[in-house]
Amino acid sequence: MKPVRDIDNEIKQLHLGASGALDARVHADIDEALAHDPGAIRRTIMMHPMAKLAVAAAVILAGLLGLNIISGPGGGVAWAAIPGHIGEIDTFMFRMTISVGGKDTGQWTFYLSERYGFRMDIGAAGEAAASWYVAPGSDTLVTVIPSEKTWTKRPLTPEEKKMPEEYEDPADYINRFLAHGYKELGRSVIDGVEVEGIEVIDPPTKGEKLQNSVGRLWVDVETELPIRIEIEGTADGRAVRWLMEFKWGQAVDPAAFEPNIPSDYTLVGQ
Amino acid sequence: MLEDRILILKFNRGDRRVLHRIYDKYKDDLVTLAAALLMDVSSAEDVVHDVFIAFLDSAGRFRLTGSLKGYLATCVANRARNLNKAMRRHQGPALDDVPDAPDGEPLPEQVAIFGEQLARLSRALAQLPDEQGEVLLLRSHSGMRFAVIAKAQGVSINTVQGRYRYAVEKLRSLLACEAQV
Repeated sequence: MKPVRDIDNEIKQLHLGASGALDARVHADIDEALAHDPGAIRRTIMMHPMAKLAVAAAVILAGLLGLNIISGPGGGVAWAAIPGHIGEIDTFMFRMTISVGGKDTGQWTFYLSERYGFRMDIGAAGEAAASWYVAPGSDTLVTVIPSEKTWTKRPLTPEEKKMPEEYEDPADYINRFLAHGYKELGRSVIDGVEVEGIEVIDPPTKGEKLQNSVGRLWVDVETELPIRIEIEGTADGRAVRWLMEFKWGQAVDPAAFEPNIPSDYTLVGQ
Repeated sequence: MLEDRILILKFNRGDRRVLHRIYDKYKDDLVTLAAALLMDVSSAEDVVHDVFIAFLDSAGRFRLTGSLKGYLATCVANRARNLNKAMRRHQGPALDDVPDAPDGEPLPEQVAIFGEQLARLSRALAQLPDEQGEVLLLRSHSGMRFAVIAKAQGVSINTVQGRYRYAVEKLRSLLACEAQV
């Protein structure tokens, strides 16, 4: 007789494609419902392939939805409530700074908002070498390069407007983050904010694998939202630090989503 | 999947446009599940259509948690179960009482739906009691955990595990018998 595993595999192979007629029926019904819900048009998150690291931010954002798998570390933070807090937020800022040998080598800042749109800055030491902007509901990408005093404006390609397919399972991320166990760090203060944290050994990282790495997740005690993730380790014998900082909701200035191009900048592409 | 989490986040905030993406992502899996439970493609597509209409109407009125695929698969399974019961009441023989084909061969409609290779499996699935076939498909095809299936069906996890175990044993037996024919 077939082993159970074979039965499972055979059942997984069952496949039937939806017909074009069903596609038309369902999509038409959704469109009809949307026609009576104009508010839905405003609720847009532009996802751009250049924002791959923003996706990493979203991995963390959405991954925290899985934090209710953690039994409370015993402090004041109600960890299980974090998904509910994040679910209410439509705007956030994520900044990732990578340091090697104690020197900052790059910084990426992402602003993502259903209400205000998308912005990404790439630079170092707080200086943006280039910024990308997409307004909510817009199909236009604005790029600003301060060092050249230039800016460009062009339509997003259909591919750029799609939801990226290369998403990582956030639950997997959190599970991997906690796979080696964690210890409570208790309370601390970061930038004047009282926080509570946990620490994991050998946390998951994307790309380069760090040796002897430690990850720390810090959550604002008052808002119960994560404000910092630090990952420290070594690569090729040099100390490496990844610092991920978050701002949520009203802590993000809506003006950050406006290009505000200086008058002496030259439009070089349209 | 992160995309599912984002889709759920947006859906929970009442953004019904994500239904386009959700439908495109899971339509084939759901139609397959419904067809395996109903053994009728037209009815299977009606079930999937009905599930999405109900899903559409519910946007912004409840918070979806957990697996998006699991939630949709459960909805499809519930509607397929109800449809099977209605068909039995009003249209005669039950789907799991399908007459034997000569020499244990799969019935033409089973071949038509899933092709030669998997028709024997679908025929064997059709001979399982509804609740066993449902658990087996939700577990093995839709990848749902026993605890989630138990909650969706309103029974204990032991009951669900038992149904799965009986279903697998019966399926193995049926397929072994066909292989000997």
